[in-house]
Amino acid sequence: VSRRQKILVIGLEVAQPEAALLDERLENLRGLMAVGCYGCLEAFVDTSEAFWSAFATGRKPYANVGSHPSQVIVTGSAMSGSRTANACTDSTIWDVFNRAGERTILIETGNEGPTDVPRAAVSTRELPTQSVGAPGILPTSTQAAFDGLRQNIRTGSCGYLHLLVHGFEAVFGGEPPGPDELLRLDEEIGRTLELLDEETLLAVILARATFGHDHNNHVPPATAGAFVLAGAALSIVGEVEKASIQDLAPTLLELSGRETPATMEGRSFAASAGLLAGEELDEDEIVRARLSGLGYLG
Amino acid sequence: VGLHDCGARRAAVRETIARLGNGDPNIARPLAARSFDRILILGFDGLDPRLVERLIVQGAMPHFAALAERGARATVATTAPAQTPVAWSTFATGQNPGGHGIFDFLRRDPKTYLPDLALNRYEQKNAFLPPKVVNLRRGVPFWERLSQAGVPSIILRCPCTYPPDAVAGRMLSGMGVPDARGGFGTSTFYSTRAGLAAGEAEQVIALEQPVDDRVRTHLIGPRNLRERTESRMEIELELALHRKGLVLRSDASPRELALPLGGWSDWLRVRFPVGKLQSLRGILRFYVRSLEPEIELLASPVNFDPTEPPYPISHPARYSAELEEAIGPYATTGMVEDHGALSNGRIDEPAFLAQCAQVWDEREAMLLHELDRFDEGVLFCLFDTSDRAQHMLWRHLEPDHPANQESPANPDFAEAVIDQYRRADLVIRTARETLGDDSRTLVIALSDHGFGGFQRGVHVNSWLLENGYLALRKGVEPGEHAPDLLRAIDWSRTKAYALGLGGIYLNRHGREAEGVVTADDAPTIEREIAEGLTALEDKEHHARPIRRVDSRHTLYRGPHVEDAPDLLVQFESGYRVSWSTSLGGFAAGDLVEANTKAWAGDHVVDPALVPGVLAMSRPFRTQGARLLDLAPTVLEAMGVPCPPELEGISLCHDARKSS
Repeated sequence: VSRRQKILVIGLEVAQPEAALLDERLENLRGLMAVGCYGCLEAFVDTSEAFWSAFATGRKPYANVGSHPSQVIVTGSAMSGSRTANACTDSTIWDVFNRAGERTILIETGNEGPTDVPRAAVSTRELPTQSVGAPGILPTSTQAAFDGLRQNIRTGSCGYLHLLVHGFEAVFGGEPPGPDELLRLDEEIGRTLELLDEETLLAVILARATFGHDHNNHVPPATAGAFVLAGAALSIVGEVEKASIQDLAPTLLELSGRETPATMEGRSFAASAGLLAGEELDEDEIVRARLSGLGYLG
Repeated sequence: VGLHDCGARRAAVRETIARLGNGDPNIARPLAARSFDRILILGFDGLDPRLVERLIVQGAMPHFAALAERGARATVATTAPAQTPVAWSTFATGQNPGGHGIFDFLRRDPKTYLPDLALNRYEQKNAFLPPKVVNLRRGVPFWERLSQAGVPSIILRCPCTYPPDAVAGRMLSGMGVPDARGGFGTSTFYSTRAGLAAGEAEQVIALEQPVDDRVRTHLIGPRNLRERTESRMEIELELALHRKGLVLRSDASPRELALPLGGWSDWLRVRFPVGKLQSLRGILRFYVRSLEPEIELLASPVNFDPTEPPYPISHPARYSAELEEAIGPYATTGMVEDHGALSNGRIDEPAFLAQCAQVWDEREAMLLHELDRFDEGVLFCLFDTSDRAQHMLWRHLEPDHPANQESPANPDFAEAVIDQYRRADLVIRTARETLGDDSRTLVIALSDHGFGGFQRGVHVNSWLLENGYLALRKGVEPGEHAPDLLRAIDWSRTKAYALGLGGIYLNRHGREAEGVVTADDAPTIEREIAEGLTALEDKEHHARPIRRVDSRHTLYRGPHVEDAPDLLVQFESGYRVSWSTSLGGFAAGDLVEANTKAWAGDHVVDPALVPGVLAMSRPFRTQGARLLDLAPTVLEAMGVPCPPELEGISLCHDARKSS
């Protein structure tokens, strides 16, 4: 990848990330899987806060503070919690953009309402008050978050743009998004894809929404999450195995042409998985293939 | 409207009428009085009026004659150029090519000079979204105007309907639908014979000698052009008992398929992986040419499976599958008949004709299926096997054709050309018998162009080179090693170049990427080229191959004229643009060459030489009938006013006076 790419992250908390990857009804998600790469994520975490913390910092959860998840200070949303936990020592993926003077935006739906802004990021709009959605209909806050995401994509001024849909206890009436809501979320992704350009690197990250809140039971789920990466500069790779949540930020940073902070422990799988785009298409070959069998031509 | 949903259709009509009453601006105009409740249009690609007349006189086309006796028959002026996609697009839209934008099979991007198919293209909005196929035929076809007026249409296999239009009724796409490899059709030839080399539009696979009468090999599926790989499906071939054929075993459906020696097999339904997550379902059939001393086997191009095509080939999308439920599997590619296999000598004429007969049967089954429930509106069905058969067998009508040098003309195959006309005649009979003969039904039978021999090809690009209008890149010489696709040209020293079936483009400054011809100089260059080419002599035959060279401004008008070639070469009978020029290449030697290929008939000559033929069950204006007039005829007959952008005039207008 020679040119610098923008990064768009769509983070969703769902009941079964691995099942979402297999759900053929989710046409847009599967379309992305078909043109990029995807896989399940190993992560020894048992809270969504720890999951997003590991993503943002590219570190095993809480490695920097050596503390147990139950000691993490959660201030109302996963991202803000992760920042609080790691603010002293760790760089986040958006810090890379902030330091370079590029605009970064986090749009977040959570238990406690409106947009949370990481560090120097700029908030663009207020989200409406949370409301519990009816089955099959996205909550207004989620819908507004996607609308806000698309509004920011249209402005095109953002180096790092991150949507995080979580807090299902309040948003989806105490349950993770059901099949109908997943379809609606997929449709929102589809509408978002319409706006993307060739300079964008997209990551859809699915986190397990059913992490236990009983901190006496610290057995992490087998699969903490799943991911899909796609972009014009990426090769079609298919499934990537044994990726960890802390590998995603280094991978995205490498693919976007940026340095990875030394504090990130994860390892980019851009090269090992063959994500870096290969040879250009042979235009003549395409034309000959299209005309093969026409008969009238030499 | 669903397949069996007449109630829904009637409701749609009622709704339309209600909207008309409310002044809905999306509805064309109020319905006028209909002349007919139903119009059946039978299209027969390439039927030549001279042959039709001869056969009528001989009594060999009695049903065409009977149709015309009830109404009238005439020649019908075709388009410039006289090409199938151009002509049927004019038929559909009632506009000249400047109005619908289809000028040839080929177009080129002036910014890159890269040729491409002119019928449709795949567009991908960005890397995150799947590609969508886009029809490049513009203009408004009559079925869309009928739909807006609440009149249903059933359109079967009309060229340039891929992807299908959202017609009020049903549509099955025709020419333009690709095979699984994205082209018009690429077959695969298998042989145990050594030294196998691929011919035109084919892949070859060398078979191992069978062990215990069995040999393993594979089918070839879609190509991944980015990764330069292709999908495969493993198969096993076993010699059948008494050497009567082969048995193909695979994971496809059916698991065991009998491949008879000297005959076409039934369809095999296959699924090829595409990319990492997707698959493409296709159907193909096989022809076993020999078992001893060598096993030789042809696999047809992989057609889209009508039950699950990767891109829509029908409207509604389910219609292609519903049609299969009704008539069984059917070929879906735009050009079904495997002319390449005949050209390459992989099959012989009887095998080709057997395939042609299958396609006629399939198409007739589609027509009958729709005729059985055809209550109102327009039903169009195109039979285009007549075109392919004439391309490939015409040499047998002309004993002096250069393509007969190695294999003499065979009267049986000359008769097989005539059989195409007889088969068309039987379709007319079947349709009229099914419909009954009543005053509420109009039956139209027509062809889009005529036919003739293609004995000699003119190297137009080589002429441009010899006459200083075109220069080749340094180190490139004309001949078989010169690259085609216009890649051999030094654009900085080129004023004009030829591509496709008669088109010449000026290398215009401001339009082409490296254009050198100014607007002031263009008329002079066009005139010089026109005069020079018209004066070209075929010295071997003491004839002038080119009757005229027309400027696009004399041929076309409308919003898409700027996409047309600047000049169009109008060839004399027996001539055509050469094989090399058609694909932007350069031949060495004489400027006119003999055509020795099996594709020995053609129609891309001066349109005045190859009109189509037209018959209707009601009197019509026979003088000066044009394809342009068909759309206005249909609209008027269905009581839908013709908007002013339609250039033709209804043939039924004042018919009694002029018929």
